[in-house]
Amino acid sequence: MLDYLRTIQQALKIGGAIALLPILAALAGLSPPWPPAIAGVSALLILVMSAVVWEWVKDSRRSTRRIWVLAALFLTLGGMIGYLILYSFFVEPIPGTGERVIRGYECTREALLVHKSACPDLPREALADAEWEATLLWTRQSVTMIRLGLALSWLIFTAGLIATMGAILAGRREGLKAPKA
Amino acid sequence: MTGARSRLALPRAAALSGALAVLMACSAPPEQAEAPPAAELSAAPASRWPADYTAMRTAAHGFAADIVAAEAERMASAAAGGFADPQQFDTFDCSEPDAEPVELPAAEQQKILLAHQAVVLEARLKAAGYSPDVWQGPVDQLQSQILALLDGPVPAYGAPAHEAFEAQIGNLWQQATAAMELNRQTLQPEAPPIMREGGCGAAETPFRLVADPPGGRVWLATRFAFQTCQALGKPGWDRAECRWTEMAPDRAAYLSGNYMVQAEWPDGRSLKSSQKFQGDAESGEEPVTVTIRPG
Repeated sequence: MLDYLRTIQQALKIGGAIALLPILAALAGLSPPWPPAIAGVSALLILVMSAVVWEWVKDSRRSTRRIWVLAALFLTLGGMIGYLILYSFFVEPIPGTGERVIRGYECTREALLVHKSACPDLPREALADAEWEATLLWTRQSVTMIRLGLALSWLIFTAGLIATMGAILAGRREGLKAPKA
Repeated sequence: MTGARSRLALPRAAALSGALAVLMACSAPPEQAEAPPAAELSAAPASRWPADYTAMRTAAHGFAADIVAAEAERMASAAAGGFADPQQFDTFDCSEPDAEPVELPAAEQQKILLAHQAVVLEARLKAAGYSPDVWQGPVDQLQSQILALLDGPVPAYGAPAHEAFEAQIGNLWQQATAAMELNRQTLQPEAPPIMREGGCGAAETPFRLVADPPGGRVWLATRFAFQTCQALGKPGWDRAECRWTEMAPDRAAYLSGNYMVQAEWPDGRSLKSSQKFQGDAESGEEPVTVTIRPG
């Protein structure tokens, strides 16, 4: 029982430490603009993932752990690249404020009427003309898909990151040693 | 962006409140006040509501007429393959007013807003072609629930408990929307889904538009609405044809982006121009005064 609790404590320590990452990233303005509670969701995901990875990997052989590390690294890089591409294409900061708008990829009929062939890659001024309300210019469906894509790639990046760290740290034997009597 | 909403229509709230205050001051019996609305906006008989709320609904019918007409036209366009979003129906109307400080008790103010919102929603649902069987029950229940809530203590605008109270009302709206959608799935599965999303603008900053010399009237339209109107072959500056909103000089409007402005003075002078309204993160809630002068 004592060993089990110690293991949980160890896993939570790692998770807790890395849970700071999305908070720091949020401060740097890297986290997605949607949903509003994405930082909290990320932190929760990190805690859960850290416990899961610890549970799966703690008794594995070094070769198995290395496969875990590589797989998790692949997730991290894939998530990050996907996120950065989506962010670059579809996130627009509103000048003079800390707010960001997520664009869509399919123009509404009104936007097609006004902007014609410029659709769907509309200039920033088109957003300013529409009170920075993306769903006036792009269909709700396309905006929602991009929102989900951004959130999902961010969460994959976050989960991959903690899985990588967890798989590396779970193999450190000294982390599991019982204190000397 | 999420959760932000356009406040262009706020002067309507003040006008509605003012009208109601006059209505109540005159102490007109509610039965007399409930004149049949020209556009048959609601199928609900007046007697189901308390007398004061019935009077508020009557007042709302008149003030909502322009919204209802615009919505009916929008829905007709959608039916003809036009420009509305036929994929879904949002029970949140971007033109609906927010609760604002007016010289009325908080509960009265909330009732006025509810009457306005309910009357407009009913008309929009009818215009969109939904059967009353889908929406009448949930909308009536929503009003009953909110009225019951308003019989208890109602925090004033700006009070610490105001936000929580608004959230409670917001939940009731969500529940009513969910009930309507459930009915639609059973009774009218071919009709667009009913949801409540909102979101009509982002990063708005309060601006107060003041005519100089005084006495001028100022109207505002988003540049996109203006361009859309023109693209439809209508004269963009025509306030009856396009979506223009009159600005009240004593009340802030929450704006963000590029707008078209027109103003008229009693001596015949006028202004037609475009204007960028851009706040900054540090401007806070204190309205920025913009002076509008003849061109």
